Amino acid sequence: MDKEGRYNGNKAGEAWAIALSEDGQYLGSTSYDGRINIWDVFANGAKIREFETKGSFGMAIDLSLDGRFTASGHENGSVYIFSNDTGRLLHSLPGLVNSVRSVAFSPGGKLLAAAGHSKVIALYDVSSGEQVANLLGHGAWILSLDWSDTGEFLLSGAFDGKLKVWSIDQRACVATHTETDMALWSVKWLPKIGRSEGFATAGANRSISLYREATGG
Amino acid sequence: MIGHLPWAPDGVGTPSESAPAPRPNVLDANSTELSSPTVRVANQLVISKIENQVAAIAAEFLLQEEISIMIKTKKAAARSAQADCEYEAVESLVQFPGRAAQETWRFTVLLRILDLLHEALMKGTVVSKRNIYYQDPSLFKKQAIVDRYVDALAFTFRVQRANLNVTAAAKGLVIGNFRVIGGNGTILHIDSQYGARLINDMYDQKAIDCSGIAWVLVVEKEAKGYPDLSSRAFLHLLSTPSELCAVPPLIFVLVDFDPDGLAIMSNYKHGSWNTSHENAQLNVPGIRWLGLRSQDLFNGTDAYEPERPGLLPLSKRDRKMAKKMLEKPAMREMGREGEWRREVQVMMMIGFKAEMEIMDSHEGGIAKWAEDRLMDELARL
Repeated sequence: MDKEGRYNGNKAGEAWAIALSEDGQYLGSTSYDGRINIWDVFANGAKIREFETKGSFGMAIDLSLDGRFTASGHENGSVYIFSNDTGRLLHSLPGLVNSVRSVAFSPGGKLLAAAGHSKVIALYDVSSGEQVANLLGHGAWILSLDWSDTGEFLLSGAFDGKLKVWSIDQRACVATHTETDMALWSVKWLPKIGRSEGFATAGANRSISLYREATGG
Repeated sequence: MIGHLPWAPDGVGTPSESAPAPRPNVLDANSTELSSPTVRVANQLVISKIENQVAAIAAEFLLQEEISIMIKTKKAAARSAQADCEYEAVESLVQFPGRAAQETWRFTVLLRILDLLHEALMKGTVVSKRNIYYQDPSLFKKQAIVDRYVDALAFTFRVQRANLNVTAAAKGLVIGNFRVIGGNGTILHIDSQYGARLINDMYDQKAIDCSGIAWVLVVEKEAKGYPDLSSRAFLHLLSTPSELCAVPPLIFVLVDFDPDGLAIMSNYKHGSWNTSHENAQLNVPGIRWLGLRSQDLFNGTDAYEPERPGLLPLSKRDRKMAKKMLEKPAMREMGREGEWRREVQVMMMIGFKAEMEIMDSHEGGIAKWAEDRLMDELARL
């Protein structure tokens, strides 16, 4: 970073959402004017990709586990998938009309989940760009998504405090938690301990909550 | 191009052909004579200052020296300014013709404003900055230029803007039941049955009998409007303990949920940069925030409907303004206004702003909503 806080031509305060690749090598960020930047952390932070989009505020970003793809979600409902290898736009995904707050690649990299103010979670096939499912159930803006390790489940948190667990196989909600009615800004699956799943949430009720699946013995 | 000077100083020739304007009578506090223009004693001081400035220009002109006006502006005090409005005075000389066209223009603007102010002061009339601007829009180019230079002149002459006989266009209205006592002892009865009164009409307020007032609600409804000085002075008076107002009423403010709304509230409470030399007589440090807050927006059944009327995305300007606000001393982490800070942050994260009209979806509309909130607040005390 230079003296004026400029990093590779970007000013401080321009980045909104960020994501790191699994191995920590690539860092992606969105900006208020819809640009997506990818930096190579191991190569001294050199910017390796800059994707321009139609200029709508970039609110969400994710990198696939293998580092090959970047997905972004925007204020105008756009969802894009870029190839980091070729630097080209692969797909502009339809379906979400309102602001997209969260995008998340499945662990296997086959699916992309996207959600936001439309209150539905859209699932897309990464290679074809086709929408394969719509998960309905939330009554408020969805702010955060996270996949479980195996890709069996998707976790979502919304502005009304509701936390939902979705089964990808069944394409349906299998659990809803309502501990708080204040916005859940971030939800994350926790590493599996033994056989039980767990997740953590943080939000406007000023606390971090931890959930652990109750097991038989 | 120098504008027409309506006045010729004694003993010094001027290029103008005009005859000296008649001198007005200074209004004696006890006098009711209004046969000639009324000029308050405070105004007389400013008239003298303007005339001295112009005399100096004329002298320089005759000596074939470069003519100039010395103007003081405010610069933010170096680091650690605890108050929002700590400033240093910076003197600069604006010369004619100066070093570049820009300076020539600045001199012309200043002189023209001095001319218009002098005229108003001599006539005993009150002008608004808008009036001034429309006298010569091609010279002034933008309203903001007039605003800035009038403030700079007030600061340079060390007078309150009101003593230049300049007000922002009269905007504030008041409705209620109370009495205002004017500087000359007159009593003005404000009665709600007659509807709203322009606060500007009560220009010369000296005291307010607030014995019948339980609370005051300030509703800020001009888009991007900032309170005019008369409104601020009125509220300041209402909030200051005095003989006729031993226990000042609680003052609440209702603004839109957007950066401008919060800036307006800050203006009432802490004052503004431009009038920071007058802040003590204008601030309402005890003003309370009735709404709108983010939590007020998401209660109804239609809270998350797409295209919800009244909920607008933040513009680039909004975000820029919000970011700037977060840097103000009072709004910093651990600053005085922690609640405001949090709400600005929430606003930026949500990405939306809302006008107070959004509460019309409430049963009974925004008036009922405001009333309910007010009653809640009063009950809590």
